[in-house]
Amino acid sequence: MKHIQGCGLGLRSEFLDDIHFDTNSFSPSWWEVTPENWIDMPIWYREKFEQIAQNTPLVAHGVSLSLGSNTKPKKKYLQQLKYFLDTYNIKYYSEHISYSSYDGIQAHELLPVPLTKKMIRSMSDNIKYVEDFLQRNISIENATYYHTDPSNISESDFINELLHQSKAKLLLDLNNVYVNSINHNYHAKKFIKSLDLDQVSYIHVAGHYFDDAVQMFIDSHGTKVNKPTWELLKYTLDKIDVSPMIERDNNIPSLYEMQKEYKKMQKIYDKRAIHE
Amino acid sequence: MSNKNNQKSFVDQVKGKKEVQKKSIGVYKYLVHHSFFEVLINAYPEFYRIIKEKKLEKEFDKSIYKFMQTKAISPYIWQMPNEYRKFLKKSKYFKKLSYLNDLLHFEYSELFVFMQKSSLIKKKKFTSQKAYRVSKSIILHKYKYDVINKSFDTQETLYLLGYFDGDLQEVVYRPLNKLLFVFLKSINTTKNLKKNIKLFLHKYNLSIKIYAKEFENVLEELYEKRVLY
Repeated sequence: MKHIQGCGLGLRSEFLDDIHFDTNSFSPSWWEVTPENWIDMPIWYREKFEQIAQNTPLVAHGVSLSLGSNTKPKKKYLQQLKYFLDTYNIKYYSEHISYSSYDGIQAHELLPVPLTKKMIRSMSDNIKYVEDFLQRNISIENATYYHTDPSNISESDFINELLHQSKAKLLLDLNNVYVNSINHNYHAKKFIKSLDLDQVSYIHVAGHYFDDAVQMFIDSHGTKVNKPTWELLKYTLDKIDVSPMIERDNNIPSLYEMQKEYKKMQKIYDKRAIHE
Repeated sequence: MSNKNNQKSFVDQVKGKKEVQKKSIGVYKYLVHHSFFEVLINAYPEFYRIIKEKKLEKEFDKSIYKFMQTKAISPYIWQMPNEYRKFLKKSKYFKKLSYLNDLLHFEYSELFVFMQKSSLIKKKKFTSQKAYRVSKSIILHKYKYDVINKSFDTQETLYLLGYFDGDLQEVVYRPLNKLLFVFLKSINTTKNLKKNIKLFLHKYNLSIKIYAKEFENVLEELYEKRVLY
């Protein structure tokens, strides 16, 4: 990701009408797109999407490949995905350390993988299979989890070993780190420090909320980025020089509102220590 | 327990197939159900209004869990409501609502038409000397109930065309007469429109002199709206 400079923002269909290409108009340095939302794009969005792709670099972040599943990702979907990535010249693709379907049935939610050596091997095989198919080196994101089975392997050891075996890069989601650290009572900065930070391709920040019904913090991507996550961004950018981006998937505000958050991120990014 | 058994047990609990054994697994049951529920009630607002009015929420919940366990296959969330409609059609749920499939088909049709992918390129001038096809991005459907007026007390056949109107930037519905509906359904793409009209009118013993021009005019209008291409 070294050649992608600056900060990114998640592209939503709600923003399309407000995206313009003259010099005074706001544009992030790059947009992150979720292929599942754009592969089946209606004709009414396509013209603008193509303009955006021509003017601003795109990075793709998937949600349904289900790398931790018991079956390999479906070829039909991978073909659609590769066509989409090739068509819009998208070099970078990421997914999650989780699974979202089992026996071919979707859960439409990122489910937690068992932290076992077997799972590392199985996910690693799936990652290599996807990379061969897409002809791209992919990144994998540390996910939030609200449940985990007892394991001898810590989360950070699991992630590091998975990165080592699969040769994938890490998409470091700082909101997920924070939410997990509160829900599972560990130290967020220590956790970040324990990861193989040389493998980080880029960073996600997003919002979360406390859910009274389940009595846990939920990674909703539906609110502004919370203060502790901004703190973790400062902390992490002092250690590594990578691009951050804001994810917003629910309660989508106007692009103008997102721009305010983007500027905040930009300020933190501009103040980062530059690493040789 | 192996990864496979571990994951299967977890998914069975999350999707309501097995009783939840831990509070933390219940969080996922809540989240997964919530995301299905939200997608379905947003796609089917009238259906959900009826569910609430008739106090069928429990049956709705049960149907969602059964659907989540068996038929939610597409990675594209926008296709989930149609998967649910097809699931309900073959299931034991809501059997008292005889109009249910019509209603869900109609409500989903708006999303289906909006998600169309056909080209917006300006076409050449219409001529009945050419062969045309009916676009795959429209809805052309025979309903047993008047779904437009949400009149479900008695059956009343409705032949309906739905398409995205580029000028209005919205999905437009247009009830058709049976003749035009049958014509559009049976159009022969290897023959020009004039020939199609002639054969059709002949088959139904209708005067070419009286009806041919009228047909042509309507079809030209549908061509302008990209119902034909």
